[in-house]
Amino acid sequence: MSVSDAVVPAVDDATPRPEPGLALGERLSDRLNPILVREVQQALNGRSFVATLALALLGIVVTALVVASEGDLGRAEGRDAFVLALQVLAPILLLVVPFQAYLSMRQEVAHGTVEHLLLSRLTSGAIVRGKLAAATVQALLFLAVFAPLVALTWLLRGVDVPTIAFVLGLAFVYAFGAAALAVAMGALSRWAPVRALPMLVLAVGLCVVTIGFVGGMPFIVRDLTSVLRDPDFGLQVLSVLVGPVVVGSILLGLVASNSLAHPHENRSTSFRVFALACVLLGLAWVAYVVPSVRGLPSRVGWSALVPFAAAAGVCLFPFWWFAVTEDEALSPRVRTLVPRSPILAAMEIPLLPGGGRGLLFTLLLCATTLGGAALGLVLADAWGSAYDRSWIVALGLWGYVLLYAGLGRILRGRLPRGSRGTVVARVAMPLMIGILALLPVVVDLIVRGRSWEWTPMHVLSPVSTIDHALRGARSGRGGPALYSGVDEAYGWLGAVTVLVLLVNVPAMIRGAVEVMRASRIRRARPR
Amino acid sequence: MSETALLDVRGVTRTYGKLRAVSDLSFSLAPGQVVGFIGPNGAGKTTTMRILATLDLPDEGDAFVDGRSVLVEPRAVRRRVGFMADTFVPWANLDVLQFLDFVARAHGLRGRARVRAVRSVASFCGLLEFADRPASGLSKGMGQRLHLAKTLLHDPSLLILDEPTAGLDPRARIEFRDLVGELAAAGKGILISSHILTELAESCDSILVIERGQRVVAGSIQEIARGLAPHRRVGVRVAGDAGEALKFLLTQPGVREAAADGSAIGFDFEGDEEALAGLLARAVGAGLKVFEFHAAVADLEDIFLRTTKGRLQ
Repeated sequence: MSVSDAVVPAVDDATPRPEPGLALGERLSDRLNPILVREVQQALNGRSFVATLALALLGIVVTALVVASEGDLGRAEGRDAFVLALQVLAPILLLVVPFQAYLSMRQEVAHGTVEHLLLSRLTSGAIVRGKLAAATVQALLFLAVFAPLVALTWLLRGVDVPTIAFVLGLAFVYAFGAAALAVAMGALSRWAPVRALPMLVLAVGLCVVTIGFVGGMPFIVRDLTSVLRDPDFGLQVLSVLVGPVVVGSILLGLVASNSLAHPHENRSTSFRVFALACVLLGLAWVAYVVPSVRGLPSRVGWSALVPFAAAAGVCLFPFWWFAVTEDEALSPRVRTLVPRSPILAAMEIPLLPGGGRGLLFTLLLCATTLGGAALGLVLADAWGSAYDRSWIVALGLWGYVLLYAGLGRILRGRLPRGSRGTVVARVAMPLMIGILALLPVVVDLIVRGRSWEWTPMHVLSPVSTIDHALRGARSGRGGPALYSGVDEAYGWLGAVTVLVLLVNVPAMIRGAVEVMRASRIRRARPR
Repeated sequence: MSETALLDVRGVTRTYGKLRAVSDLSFSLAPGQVVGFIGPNGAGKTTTMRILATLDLPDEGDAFVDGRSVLVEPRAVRRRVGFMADTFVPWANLDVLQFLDFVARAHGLRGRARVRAVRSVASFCGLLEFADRPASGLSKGMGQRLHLAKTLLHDPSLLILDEPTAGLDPRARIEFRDLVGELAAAGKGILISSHILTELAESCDSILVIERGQRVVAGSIQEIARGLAPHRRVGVRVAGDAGEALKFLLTQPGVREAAADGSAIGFDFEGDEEALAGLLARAVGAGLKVFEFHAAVADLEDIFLRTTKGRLQ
């Protein structure tokens, strides 16, 4: 029984009227994200958007007047006018639009309206996508507003179409990244005790990007665009400029989406998939882009895969840190999302929330990164070109990733269930890593009287151990004692890591069994 | 689960650290039934309602809306539940119809169905004449109507209303109560919490009193009142000699502790409505000039005060 059928029999008039047809815009808007539709309506009804638009138009008029006052207009003036126009546009795209997105998300969170939205069919991801889409529409609108001025600079022959396309495209990508940062910081404002921190991060981040863009605009227009035209460097430079912003925007979107979701929902899998995708994309980027750099032997270029694999171990710290410190058990809501198919369920084990599964995820990350680098070298027939020292560092760093992840999982297992235990584990784990890394140095300094000679105790510290391994490799080069230091240090590291992983085996098995059981229960239920 | 239950709460427990906000709570609600949810501040009402609305999870137990578990089928439950939280801040820079239109879109209503739902709900809640007003600029009473309209847009079968009339003036409260009555008549189950007990007494079929997260008493107000106080206080006023009337009453079965005060006589009566009607008939038959005869029934405030201890947690 619908409200219209049952509850509202006495609508104003008794005689039914033919329903008016829906306007095309109304019908089209049904296909859009509801948040986008609402934000556009709010912007059109509100004052801040109109004020910003008026300011932008004023900026265009002033810029045009400044250009016109030059008198003898030529090619150089055209380029200067383009730079000036972009310098006026950049603060709007990188500061004003993102800040409005931040305020919108922050109000949503502070007023509790996010909960109302989550009771509808909107997911936290749809809310974030809607906010980003609204910011994107605003950014595109301001770009359109500046179009006549940009056209004027082109007519003055100061800039050509590829330059205009590149600069505006770059501004748009960075504006999107800034909006993603703003939406994420707005979503993180949910936790009142640290509400000022996201605001601070956003203010600093947006100011740095804006100042960099405005200050660097002459360089971007004059030099960067010419570098991009270089067939040997263009793609590499473009990927370096755009790639991190795109990847960062996706990550910030995930942060925003997951911070809006209820703690009992699955807030882990998307990050785990993202981390694995980053590793694969990163390996592909290194394999495709670096060897194509002009003047670099192909085999040497491929060897960059190994330093990349080493760096990934450190850069992915937030992912495995959060994964191994999660509550062990699946929440009832997540259990219902486990695939019915046992094969798919088994494949999903490392990607589902839970500390034991988090350690499996860390192992998967390690295997993907190191295995991918090794496979790349083999396929490119560049195995021998990888510097041994790079491999020593990569293996050492990943050894410590597994060791610390295992210790972190043990720590979380000893704390009470629930969010409080998770928070304590997440604070304690970096402290534990710091103490373990510093302990051998302190003992050297105080107990052993400044003797820096490596002992098994140093296996706790990645700095001492990897340094010892590198020294061993260097001193042993060419002689019978080749890699003696590596053998000694990494022998201990391997033993300790295997021991810690063995202690964690029951937790990993429990994590896998829980997923398979949830899958079996789902299969037993009628669809 | 009972065959006819729209809402079936089974042994729900929710703890926050050492605080047991809800403890082994069970109750059910049928379609068209209005249940008043009463308890002192901090009793666990809002926590329970949030669990039923899928915004929180029980540590133990489960609740079913139309047979769908809040634990494992939150999306199905959300389609069946309309939750009116105790706080409501409308989005800025939207008028009333735009506000409802957005909520309808968020609930997945498309095209003409959306336009129809918005207009009918706005009409039902008396919002059409305020259609162009800013949603954030409405009075408290109209704001609550808008909140109710938003809750009704997806046509839920169960309404969970958390203190919907707090802060409303008497007229707005009466109007809101009438809306609730119409919704119940349309077959919607309604769980409503309020601290204004007289109002709940008028709009609810039954009540559920909780304290410190535990169910204290549940049932219709009359049943509970009868259970709490088997005696009812009866007041009689007679024209003429009250002493004669008092003597007569003291000879009647079920009458206790009768006392006269001028023309008014008060006494405790033990017996049901039929016995009380018989007493009145006999009094009139005995020639007493009765011009006022009323039995005081324990009201919801009495029940609340007698069943709860006001313990905070």
